[in-house]
Amino acid sequence: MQGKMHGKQMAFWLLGCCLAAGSLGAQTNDDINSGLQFNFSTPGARSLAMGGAFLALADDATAAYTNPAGLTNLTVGGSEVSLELRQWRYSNVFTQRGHSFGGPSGVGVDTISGIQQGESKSEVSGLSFLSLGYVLPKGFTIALYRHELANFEAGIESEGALTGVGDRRGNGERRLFRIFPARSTLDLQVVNYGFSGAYELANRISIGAGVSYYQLDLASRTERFFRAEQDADHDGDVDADDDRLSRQPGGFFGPPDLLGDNLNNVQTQEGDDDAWGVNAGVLWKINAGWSVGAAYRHGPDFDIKARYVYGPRGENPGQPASPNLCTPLQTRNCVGGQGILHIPDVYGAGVAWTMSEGKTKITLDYDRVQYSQLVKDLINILAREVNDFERSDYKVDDANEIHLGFENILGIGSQLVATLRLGAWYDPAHTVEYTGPDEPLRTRFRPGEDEIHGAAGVGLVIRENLQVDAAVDISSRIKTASLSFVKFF
Amino acid sequence: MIRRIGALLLPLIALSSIPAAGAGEDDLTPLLKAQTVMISVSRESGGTEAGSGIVLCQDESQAYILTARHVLYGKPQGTAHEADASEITRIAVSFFTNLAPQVVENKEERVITKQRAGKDRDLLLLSIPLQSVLPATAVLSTAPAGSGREAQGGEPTVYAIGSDQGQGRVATSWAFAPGKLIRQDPEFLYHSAPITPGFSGGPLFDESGALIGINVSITNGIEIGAEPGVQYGQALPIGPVIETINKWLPGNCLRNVAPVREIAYETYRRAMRAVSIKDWPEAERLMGQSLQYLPQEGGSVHLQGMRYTTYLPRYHLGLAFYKQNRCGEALREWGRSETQRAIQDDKRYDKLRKFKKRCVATLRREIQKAVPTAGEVR
Repeated sequence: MQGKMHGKQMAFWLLGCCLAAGSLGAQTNDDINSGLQFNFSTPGARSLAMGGAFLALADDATAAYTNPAGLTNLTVGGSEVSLELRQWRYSNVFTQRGHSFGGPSGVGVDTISGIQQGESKSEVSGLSFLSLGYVLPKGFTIALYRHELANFEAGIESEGALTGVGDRRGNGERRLFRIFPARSTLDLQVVNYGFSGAYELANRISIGAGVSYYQLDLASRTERFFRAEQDADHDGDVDADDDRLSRQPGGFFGPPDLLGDNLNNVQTQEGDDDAWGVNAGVLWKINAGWSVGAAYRHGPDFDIKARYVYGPRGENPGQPASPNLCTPLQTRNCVGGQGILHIPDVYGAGVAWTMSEGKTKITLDYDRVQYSQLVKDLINILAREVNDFERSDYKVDDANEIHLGFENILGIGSQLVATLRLGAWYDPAHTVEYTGPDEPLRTRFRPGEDEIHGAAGVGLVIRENLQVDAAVDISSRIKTASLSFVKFF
Repeated sequence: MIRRIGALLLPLIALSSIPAAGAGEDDLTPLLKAQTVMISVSRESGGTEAGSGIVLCQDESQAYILTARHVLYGKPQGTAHEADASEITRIAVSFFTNLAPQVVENKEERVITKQRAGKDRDLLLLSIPLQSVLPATAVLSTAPAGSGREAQGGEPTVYAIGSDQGQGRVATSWAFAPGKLIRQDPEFLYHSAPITPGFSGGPLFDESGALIGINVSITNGIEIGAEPGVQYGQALPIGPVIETINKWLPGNCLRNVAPVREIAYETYRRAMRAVSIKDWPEAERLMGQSLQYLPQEGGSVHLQGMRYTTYLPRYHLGLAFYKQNRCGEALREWGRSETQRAIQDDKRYDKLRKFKKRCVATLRREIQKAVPTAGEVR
C-alpha cells in the first residue's frame, strides 16, 4: 500500500503520465486529466435531489454512509431496505489542439492560436447503493450497505497541441513541442461494503461510526502516436524534404495518424486492490425544528501499478523510458512503478430546519474534500520528467463544497405521500494542475473550473411502506439520474 | 423554546392523572379544561357573576384570553341592560387546578387590558399578566366545524367547557358538557351541549379538541328549526372571531398555540420508537398518554424522514399489552371499533386478527385452568 496516487489526481497523473510519456520531444497528453470523477455525492435519490445536503437530516438508511449517527432515526420508523440505481453521463474535457506559450507557426496543422478543448461523452449506470438498516432492542441501530464510490469510464482522442516558439529542429526563442496525439481509455470502479452502527445518547444527541471494505478496479491505457524523426526520409540530412514530410499525417506538423506502426509509446495503469476505511458522525436534534450534524469519512488508499513502454516509433521499442520504477519515496530517475491512489478524506457539517410537522425541510451542508491527497504520493510516469520530476509542481486544492437542499411534502393521504425536492451545490475545481516551469506540462495540466450543480426530484410513499424517489443532478460536466426504492418494515 | 416545550409537557403529563368528569373521563377533558379560565365579576351593586374564557396563547409576560363581552359588561351594547364598566369592582381570572395563580383586578389596581371587538360583536379580548407557563392553549380548528363527521353522516360531537356556577351564581368548578353540533350558519354554531350562563365566553371544541367557537348565549330550538322547547347553545364560529381579533394579538400568538394534536403526535412518535426497540412497558405508557391527548384514531403522523403512519395508539397499546402477555387488556383495546376500522385495509388487520386469535386461545386455556373440574370439586 505504499506509493499510492490520490484518487482523481492519481488517475489524472497516471493517465496523464502514460499519455504524456514520450521520448525526446517528451510530448505528454493531459487530455484525460480532467476526465476522472469520483462520486463523493451522498447516496440515495432523495439526498441527490436535495443537492447532497443531508448531514443534519440523515434520516434514512443512506445515513450509514453519509452520517452514521443518523441511523438512530430508524428507531422511530423501524427497519428498512433500500436500493438505488444511478446513471452518470460524463462530459470529459481535454486539451484537443491549438498552440500555447507562443503563436502558431502557420506550418501544417499549427495554425490555431491558443488551446482548443475537446470533449468526449461517456455514460455509466449501475446499482449504486444497497442497504439494510435494522433496529435492535435498546435503541441500537445497525446498517449493512454496498456503495459505489466511483464508477467512471472515459475514452478520448486528442490531436495534440503545440507549445513554444521556434521550429521543429529546435531553433528559436523557446523550444517548439508537439504534444503527441493520443488515444486513451479509462475504466474505474470503487465499491465499498460497509457496516455502520449508531446509538442515541441523552439530550437527542446520536453518535455513529462505521467501517468499510473498499475494492478498486482500475484499468487505463493510453497510446500516443508520433513520428519524431528529424530526418524523416532517412537520407542522412535534415532538409526541406523532411520539413515537407513533417506536415504529413503522423508528422510533427501533421494531423494525427493513429495507426499501429505509428505508435510511439503506451502507458497503462492497473489497480486491483482492496483497502479499509472508516467513517463517523454525530447528530444533534436540538428541537423539533432544528438539527445539526457532522461527519468524517476516511478514504482508503489503494496500490496501483503504472507502466510506460515505448512503441515501434519510440526511442527504445518495448523498453521503458527508465529502467527504474518509481515509488512514493523514489521520484527521480524513474518512470512508472507502484503508486498509491488516495481516495480523498471528506469531512463536513450541516444544519437542517424542519417546519410544518415535517412537511418542509431546508438543509445546508459544508463539506471539505481533501483532494490535495491526490498528489500526495504522486509518481512520475512522464518520460520528460524522468530526471526533473518535482512532486510539488503538481497541485490540487482541497474543495470547500456548499450544498443546499429543500424538501416539501405536497400532499399526505392514507395511501400516498408526494414530495418535491430541490437542491444546488457548489463544486470547486479540483483537477490536477502543473505549476512548474515546463510549458508542455502546463499545457496538459491546466486548472479546472468551478461548477454549480442543480438538482431536483420527486418522491412517493405508497401505503406507508414503500418509498420511491427519482432525482437528477445536473452540471456542465456531469449529469446524474437516480431512482431509488425503500421498503419499510 | 426548549424550556417552554418542557414546561408544557410536564404539566400535561401531570394533567393526565387528573380525574375528569362525566363522559369525558378517558378523553381530552383535562386538557380542554386547562385551556379554559373562569372569570368572576363583582359589581358595586353587590352581585357577582361568572363567565368563562379560552386562553388563545401566551408570551413571556402576558396571556391572551378570549371571552364574551357581556361577561364583563352585561348585555350587548345598545340593549337596556348593558352594565356600566365603572360599576365593576373586581375581576378574577382563575385557572384550572391552580395551574397558574389567580389574576385579580380591582378598582385600585388595573392589571387586565380589555379590547372590545367592535360595537356589535359579543367578544372581548383580555390580556392578563402571567408568568406561569400554561400547559395548553387553544388549538384552532383548521376545518369548518363538523366538516369531518358531516361527510360521514350524523351530527358531529362537540364539547363545551365552562364555569359551573353551582348555587348562588358563584363559580365553583369547571364543567364539561358534551353535545352535538345541530346547525351552523355563517354567524353562529348551534349545539346541544347543556350549557348554563357560566359557560358564557367559554370555548366550544370539536371532537379532537380543536377550538371551533365561543359560547355566547342559549336559544330555544324553535328559533333555529330544531326541537321546540329545547334549549340549545349558541356559539360564535372561531374563524370570523379570529379574523376580528387577530390584529390585537402578538404576531406569534396563533403560531405558538400549543396544539393538542401536535402534542399527541409527538407523544405517539416517542411511543412508536418504544415499539420499534421493543420497549413494551414504555410503549404502553406513551400510547396511553397519546390516547389521553387525542383519543380518536386515524390521520397521518409524521414519524421521521419520509415515514408517515396512521395514528393508531389504541392498536399499539393493545400490542404492548399483548407483548407483555396481558391478553385481556389487549383484547379490550383491540375491541374498540375505531381501531379495526382504521386498519382494516392494510396488513396490520391480518396481524391483529392473528394476535386476537392467540389471545383468545390463551384466555381460554387460563379459564380452563382456573375452573375446577368436577373431580376437583368433589
